[in-house]
Formats: sequence, structure tokens, C-alpha cells
Amino acid sequence: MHAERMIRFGRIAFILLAVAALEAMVRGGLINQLVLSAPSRIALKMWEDVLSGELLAHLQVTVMEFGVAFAIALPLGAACGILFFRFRLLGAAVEPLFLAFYAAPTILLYPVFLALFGLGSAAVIGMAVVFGTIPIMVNVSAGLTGVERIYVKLGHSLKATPGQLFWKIMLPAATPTIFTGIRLGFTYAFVGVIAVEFLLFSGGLGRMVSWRYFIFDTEGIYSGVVLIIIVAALANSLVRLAEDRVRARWT
Amino acid sequence: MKRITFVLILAGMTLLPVTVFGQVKTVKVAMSSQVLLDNLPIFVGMRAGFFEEAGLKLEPSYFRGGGEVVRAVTTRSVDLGATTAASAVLIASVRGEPIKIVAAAVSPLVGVVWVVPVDSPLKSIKDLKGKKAGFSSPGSVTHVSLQVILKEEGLDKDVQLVRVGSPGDSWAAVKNKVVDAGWHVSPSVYQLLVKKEARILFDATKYIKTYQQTVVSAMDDVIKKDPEMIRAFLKARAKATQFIWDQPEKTMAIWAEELKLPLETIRLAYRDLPRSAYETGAPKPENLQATAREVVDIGAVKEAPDLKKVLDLAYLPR
Repeated sequence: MHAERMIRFGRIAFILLAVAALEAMVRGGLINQLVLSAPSRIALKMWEDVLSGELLAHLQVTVMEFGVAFAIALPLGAACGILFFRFRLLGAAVEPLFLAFYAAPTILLYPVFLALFGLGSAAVIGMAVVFGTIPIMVNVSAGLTGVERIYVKLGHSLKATPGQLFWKIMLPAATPTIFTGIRLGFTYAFVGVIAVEFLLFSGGLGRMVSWRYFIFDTEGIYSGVVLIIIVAALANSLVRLAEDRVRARWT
Repeated sequence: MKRITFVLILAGMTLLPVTVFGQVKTVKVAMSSQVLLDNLPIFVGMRAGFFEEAGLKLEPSYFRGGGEVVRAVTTRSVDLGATTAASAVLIASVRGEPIKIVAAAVSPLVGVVWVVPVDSPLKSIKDLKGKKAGFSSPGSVTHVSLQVILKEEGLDKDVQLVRVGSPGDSWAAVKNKVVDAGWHVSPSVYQLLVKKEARILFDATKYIKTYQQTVVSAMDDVIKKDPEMIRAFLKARAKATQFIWDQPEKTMAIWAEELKLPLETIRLAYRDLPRSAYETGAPKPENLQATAREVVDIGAVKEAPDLKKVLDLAYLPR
């Protein structure tokens, strides 16, 4: 308990020190104000953005695009992962190709999505689905493959049906790896949404940051970036909460 | 020993004219996308030796747009912005950056057009209603001028603006039907026209008569540190501009080689260059004011830039 409190205190102290140092460096002229704004100015700009409603308008677009993309990526990735686990030959043949594709800078494919879906949320969602699906797929497959054989043998010895074996034994055992994939897929899908919005200038927080970049509104850029970080952190906490609940249920 | 000393002295004397009498200064210059016609005086100045004569060795860096050039100037990654978007300079100045316009470069709007495939059903700008048009990047010359043109035609609410990037990316966007009309620029657009792949839907220069397209810029402390460098650069640029009109064949040859375009394409571009395109004097007040109005109208800044504050014309050639 004491250690937890110390860690929390250390974290807050570190953030405050970093913010104070940045404030001093920008105000002292050590950092060009077109490169980085003083944290106090960023906070003020964020407040103005909230009051003007601009932040909310862009946030709604981004959250919608991300929500749809993740709602597609999660079941799609899970289904593909289970398929590659069930049919090992297929998995062995195809999975490395997906991984190789993923290792390449996939963001450069955005003109393809632009041509396929046109300018708008569809292209953003399409790319985010690609970003989010692959880590989920890989981790679901790896999680199920990595279940200890002893658990499977136990299931067989208890005369479990294939369905019971999957839902009651394999899936709970694979949960840590699966949730790692879900968190990765979540993060990459979110990054994908922001990045494509930035490139396409279509809408959302990415567009807002892109516009502010081009008009040298440095406080505005970081106001958008800080909000993106806050949204990502909040959403990540939700995923962790879901993971804790699932694990609590299965242990 | 005496022989070695004599040889060393001789070697030192051959370096003397450069090291004492004609120090060659390396000057880092930022320029917008290489394909833009704005850069021609710099190409000519470098190849014809005017900058070298002035004791300057230019190290050019190309950026995607005029706004990126301003970032290079304000972060002091370069000494000069040789083709800086005037709109971006004004925006940076309003944001508190001590960036200065030291000379005009290209004005008014020159060589910017919107093209469609040669078999496109769009015949005039009016046909863009309900369609999509591409611009290079937010806050750029193409973005600002497209908005102005559409407003003038009463189409500002009926056409979707799409960011497409460079002229090459823009044409790819048109061919892939991502946009119905994409921006393009002289001289490279002539290649599409000659090959009958594209035709011009509308020419921005027919709509916008007062605008400061690009300027030469530098940071205040850089100017104060070495005003002679600024003076020498502008003098060499002025000579290059004169050369462009006095020596058309040599100019076209330089331009073709620099951009790796056929000479026939360059001839067409040169033919259509207005005589007033390249300036090294002070920007015309009406052009700069028009640009200043536009940066406010597109929402880039809330207050109009102080033009007196941003101009420093003391180094112009007499």
C-alpha cells in the first residue's frame, strides 16, 4: 500500500517537474515557440477549445471512426485467430504473410483506401481496421496455441465436449495473450485513425491537428495532441477494466 | 627543408585570393517543391554562376510547400527562404516569429491551374458543383486561391475540397477519381497537356490579379548577423531574373535540365510566363494586402498581420 502510494506520488512529481521544466525552457527562449508551446498556454488553448465546442466536434468524429473500426477489428481478428489455430496448416501458411505485411509501413497504403472508399470516414475506418485486426489475430492464434497441453488433457479426462474445452479451458487459459493482442489492436487502430485523419484532412482530431500544424498554431497542435493522449489513456483504462473483469470471472 | 617551406608558401598563396579577398560563404536556402516555377531564378543563378560571383555557395533544400519552408527558416535550419509562401510568412509573423520579408519573389498568382482528364465531362468550373477539387496542403497558395475562386463563382458551399499534396500526387488523385479536378503547376503541367492526358479546367491567374505568391525571407537575427549575405543574394537573384528574359534559350536549357523535362514542354511554359512574374524588388502593397486578407479569411489568424513589421527591404539591390 505504502509502495503504491510512493509510486503514485513519484509519477505525479515527475509529471509536474517535466511540465515546470518545459514551461521554463519555452519562456526562457531555449525552445522555439513554433516548435513547442509553454504548457500553461496549451492548457489555456485546451480550455478555449472546450468552450468553443471545436474540440467536441472533432472528438465525436474520431471516436465514431475508432469505435466502428474497433468493432470490426475485434471480431474479425478473433475469428481469423481462431481459424488459424483450428486449421494449423492454414495458419502456418498465411500468418507469416500477414506479419510481413504488418512490418511494412502500412500507412503508405492510404491512397489505395482513398481510391477504394473515397475521402471520408470510410477510408479512415478501413485503414484502422487493418491496423487493429492483425495484432488481435496473431495474439488470439498464439494464445490458443500456447495453452498448456496438461489443461487440454485434463479437459479430455473430464469428458469435456469440444465446445466446453474451448470455452471453459482454452479461452480462459489464453486470456492474458489475447488481451495483450486486444490492447495492441486497440492502440494501433486508434493511432491509425488519427494518422489517416491527419493525412487525408478528412475530419476528426487528426484533421484538427493537421490544420493547426499548417497555420503554425503550436498551442492548438499540442491542445489536440494532449486530448488525443487523454482519450487514448482513458480508453486503455477501459480495456484494462474489461480484462480484469474477465480474468476475475474465469479464475 | 628550404624547398618544402617554399612549396608550402606557394600553396598558401594560391589559397589567398579565396581566403582573404573572396571568402565564399555557404548559404543554406530553403525552397518550395522543386517542380514549381518559383524556383527558376535560383536554378539560373546557380548554373549561370551569379551566386558564385557574389561569393555565395548555395546549398538548396526542397520542401513540400511554402509553409514547410517557413518552418525551416524559423528554426534556423536554413539561412534564407528563397521561395517562401508569403501567406505562411505572414501567419508566422502574427504568431510572434521575427521572420522578415526581404524581397518579393513571384507575383501575382502565376502558373497555377486546375486540370481534369482530357475526356472528363467537366467543361468549365461551373461543372464542379457537387464535385471534389484538390489542393496541395492546408493554408497553401492552392488552398487559399481555390477558396477565393470558388467563392467568386458562388460554388464555395457546393464543392468539396480535398488535400492531395504535390502536383504528381494531385494528378494521381484525379486519375484515380479521388477528386474530379486537381491542381497543377507550370512547367510540369504542360507535359500532360502536350501528351493530351489532361486539359485545364480553370486557370487561377484569370481570377486572382492581386496576390503575393512567394517572397524571399529570413529571420531578423540572421539578417542582422550578416546583412551583406542578404544583399549579395538579392543582387545575384536580380541578375538571374534579368538573364531569364535576356537569354531565353539558355534559360530554357537550364530549366529543362534541372527538372528533367523535355525542352518542348519547357518552351511552352516559358512562352506563357508573364514578364512580371519574377521580381526582386519590394512586394507591391496591393499584392501583400490581398494575401494578408486571405490568411484572415481562411481562419489561419484572427488579426491582420502588421505588414510594416514583417517587411525589411533595406537590402534590395539599387
